[in-house]
Amino acid sequence: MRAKLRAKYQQKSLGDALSLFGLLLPYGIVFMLFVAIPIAVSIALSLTYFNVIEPPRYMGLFNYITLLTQDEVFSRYILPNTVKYAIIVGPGGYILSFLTAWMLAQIQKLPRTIMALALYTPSMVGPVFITVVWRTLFSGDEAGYINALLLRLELIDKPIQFLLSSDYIMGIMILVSLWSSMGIGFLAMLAGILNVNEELYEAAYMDGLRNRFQEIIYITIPSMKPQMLFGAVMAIVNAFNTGWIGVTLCGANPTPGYAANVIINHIEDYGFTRYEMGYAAAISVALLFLVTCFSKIAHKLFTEKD
Amino acid sequence: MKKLPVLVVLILCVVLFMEAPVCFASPATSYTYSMDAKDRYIRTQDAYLPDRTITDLELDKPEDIFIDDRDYLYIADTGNKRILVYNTVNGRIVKEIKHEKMISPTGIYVTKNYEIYVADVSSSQILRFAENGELIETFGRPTAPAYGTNDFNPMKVAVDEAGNMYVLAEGIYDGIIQLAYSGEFLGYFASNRVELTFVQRLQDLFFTEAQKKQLLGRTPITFSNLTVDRNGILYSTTNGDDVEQAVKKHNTAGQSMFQDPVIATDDLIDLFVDANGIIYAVSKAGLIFVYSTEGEFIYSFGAFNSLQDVSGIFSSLSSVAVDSKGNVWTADNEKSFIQSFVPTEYSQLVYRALREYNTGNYKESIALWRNILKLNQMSVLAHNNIGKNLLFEQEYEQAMYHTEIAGNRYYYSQSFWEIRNIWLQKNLAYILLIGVGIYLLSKLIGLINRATGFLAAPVSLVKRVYNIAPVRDTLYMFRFFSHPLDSFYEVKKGNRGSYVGATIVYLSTFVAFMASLVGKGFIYQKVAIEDIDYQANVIGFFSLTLLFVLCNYLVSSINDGEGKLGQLYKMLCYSMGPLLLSLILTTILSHFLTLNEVFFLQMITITGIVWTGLLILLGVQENHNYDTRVAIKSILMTVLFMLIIIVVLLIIIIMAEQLYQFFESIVKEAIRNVTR
Repeated sequence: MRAKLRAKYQQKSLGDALSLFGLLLPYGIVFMLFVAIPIAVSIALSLTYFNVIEPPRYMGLFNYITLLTQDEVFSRYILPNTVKYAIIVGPGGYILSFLTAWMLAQIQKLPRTIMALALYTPSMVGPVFITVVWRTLFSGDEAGYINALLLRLELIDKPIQFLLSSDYIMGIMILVSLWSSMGIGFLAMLAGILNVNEELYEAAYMDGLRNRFQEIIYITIPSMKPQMLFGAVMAIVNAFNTGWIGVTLCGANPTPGYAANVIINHIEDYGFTRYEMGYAAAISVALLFLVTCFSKIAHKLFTEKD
Repeated sequence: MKKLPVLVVLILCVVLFMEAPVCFASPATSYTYSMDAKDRYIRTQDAYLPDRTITDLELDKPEDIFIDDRDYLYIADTGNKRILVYNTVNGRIVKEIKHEKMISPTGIYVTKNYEIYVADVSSSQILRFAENGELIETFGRPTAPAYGTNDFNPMKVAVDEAGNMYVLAEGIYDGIIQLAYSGEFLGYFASNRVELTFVQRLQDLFFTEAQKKQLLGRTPITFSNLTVDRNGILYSTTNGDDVEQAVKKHNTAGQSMFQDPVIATDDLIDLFVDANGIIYAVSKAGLIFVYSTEGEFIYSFGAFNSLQDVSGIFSSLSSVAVDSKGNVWTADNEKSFIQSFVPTEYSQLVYRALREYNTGNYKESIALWRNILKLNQMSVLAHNNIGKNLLFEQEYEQAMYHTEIAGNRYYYSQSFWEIRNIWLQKNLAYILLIGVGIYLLSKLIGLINRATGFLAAPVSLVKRVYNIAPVRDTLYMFRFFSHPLDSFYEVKKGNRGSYVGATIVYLSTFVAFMASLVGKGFIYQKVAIEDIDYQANVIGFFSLTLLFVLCNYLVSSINDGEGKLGQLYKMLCYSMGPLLLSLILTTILSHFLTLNEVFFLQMITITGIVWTGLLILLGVQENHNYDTRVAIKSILMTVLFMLIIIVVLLIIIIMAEQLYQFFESIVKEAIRNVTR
């Protein structure tokens, strides 16, 4: 079989090869420019000491060894925080996206469109909106809505510094992240659910399907596996890349007691505060590795063949 | 019968004479208590011995005392309307301060330059005297509008370095009144909050204004005393139910700086902080508590009030102060005497060790604490502090040893984190290499196997083992994780799974449950192994699970449920798979994780429980052929029915016991009557 294919390609003329090359070229250039080259550069930089002013100095694997053995902040706070945040926000946001998409799919078109837009908005608006809404809600003085409410109910006697306390900031960050997790993945899943062939449901009910839950398990999810996979990958990427929320909420990097610092803040800290670009690049390569691993797991889960 | 009183007297005499020598074995008249690793009071070496009992000062109900850095004792002699200054070193009266404006001095504070502030509850003002006893000025009721129409009857006063006064006044529930140097009202400092009970909250919700007025006033628990230490930090004691907050060290915002709950009683009446920051608090009942600077309970001594004249025991303890030698001075406002206690070698050693720790001399501190350990091998305080010091000295293994004895999980966890970190640093390269090696090796073996097929024999052996019925049926549990509905259906139809397999899963869960109860790592083993109630856990596990099956069967059989008892049993057993895994995982991981990673254990536990719960819900749904809503209803009804059965069983058991006792007494009565 393989030999046959090879023979077939060898038969192709130069013109065919050129046209193939030409067709691939636009994608190739864009991919190289925006994905492959930056990754290659950051891997190269991660092997150096680079402080932006002097030229990079080759250090071998020193940065990685430091990251894994010397960086106490990383192993004591950053890594547990990142995993904790990713475990809750990744699957949590994913399940939430799916459930809201499924619920929206049950209602009429006009309200569905309006609701979908409303749910999608938080993921687009970014830092400004978070500052306006959530920092006002959780403001640390009596004027903050949550504090005012708790004070009126006499549950507390002094306003709580929600955004400056290492006990609360992580929880609030997770809440805000879940609130803004209905992004592209959510839209894809909504489209996926709407695309499921109605006849499948009818046929299944003829075959003895009894309730909505079975409907989801046996029909909806199997017929939208590609969208589910896309949503999962988006959720993972989202979970590892929305660390700025914690910093935006409390207005400082590092956050109080490193309580809401995740890996992306650590990169920022080293890259743009201390200008240790080599070390920052090493951490980003580690992040890339983590995301790739989790995406691989997602692929395994969602392309499983029964 | 007339001989009886004589006999009693005789016995009493004998007993008294027998007891007498024992009483004088130790000069202390009360025991000193400390805390053991499980937070129970335990007797320890005597920390203080009663020293001088001064009854010849003609005091009348002294309410407050204070000691300055010259060791002059200032007594607010409330009943005699005077302040008495007494030199504790030579035992002479230095001077007596009287003034017509001073009617009932109840609180006294002396600043660093020996100015005397007196709170007078009857004349409603604070009097400030110079060192020589001349009245400098008085501060009356604040006129600031913020003070409102409140009365001003100051009971206690303390003054910080800037001359700000902190005042406790009668009937003021808003907190500590803070007055500026000039007497201007600055505001309320640190208020206690009103603790509302559930009923009171309900009343707030539903009562009308008129009804609310009829209720008793709700006042926050009040401060009972306050003091300012030499660094200008304000401390206070609180009376009332919230014992965990009974002693507070206030920060500038008025909140308590103590991290852990305070160990005290609910009737603290006064406190004093000595030059080393050691905190002494006394209860009205006559107990004296000693705390470290961080609020850590060191020990308490003293006994409950008695009217007998025993030195070191009070009728009504009112105030405490400590001189520069560490002697504790106390006042009794009922019998009106001054009592002093002298620290033993043991307590002086403790204070020295604490001082070395606070100044950062960890090595000296460790040496001192080791001396204390020689006196008292099981001293939790010593082990705790040695552990803390060793942690700062970076001797982590030793720190782990001592904090484990002390039961201090926080510091144990920190030491363990460091040890684990060192180990990881050393071995990380090997771990990574081994990981990569195993990965490559498995790939290689796969390749070779595809080429030569040398693994065929072992694989077929594994397959043969897997195909043994009980093994297969037990391992069938894993299919429920990803395909619950199909699996429940197969089990229900009897195609897959079996009673043997289900029972193995069930019993494994029980074993894992017991293992997690007794086998966790020290950090997470919250209840000591010897304190676990095994009977309750074993009976609880089996009776609850089996009762659930039975009740669910009974409830469903009258609600169109199709499930049979055996099917339901298998359903419940197989549903326990996720719980089983989470129990095993948390038990193993608890040996390697520190408090820093507590989240992972919580996450695994929650996942296991929720997953099992979901499986049970789906199992009920599938076995009875219900839809989701009916299944949830069925489970709720099952739980309700379980409660009813438990209550009925309890009633039957109690009745049976009564019945048994009834017959037992009848028989006994009969025997007695027959034999007489």
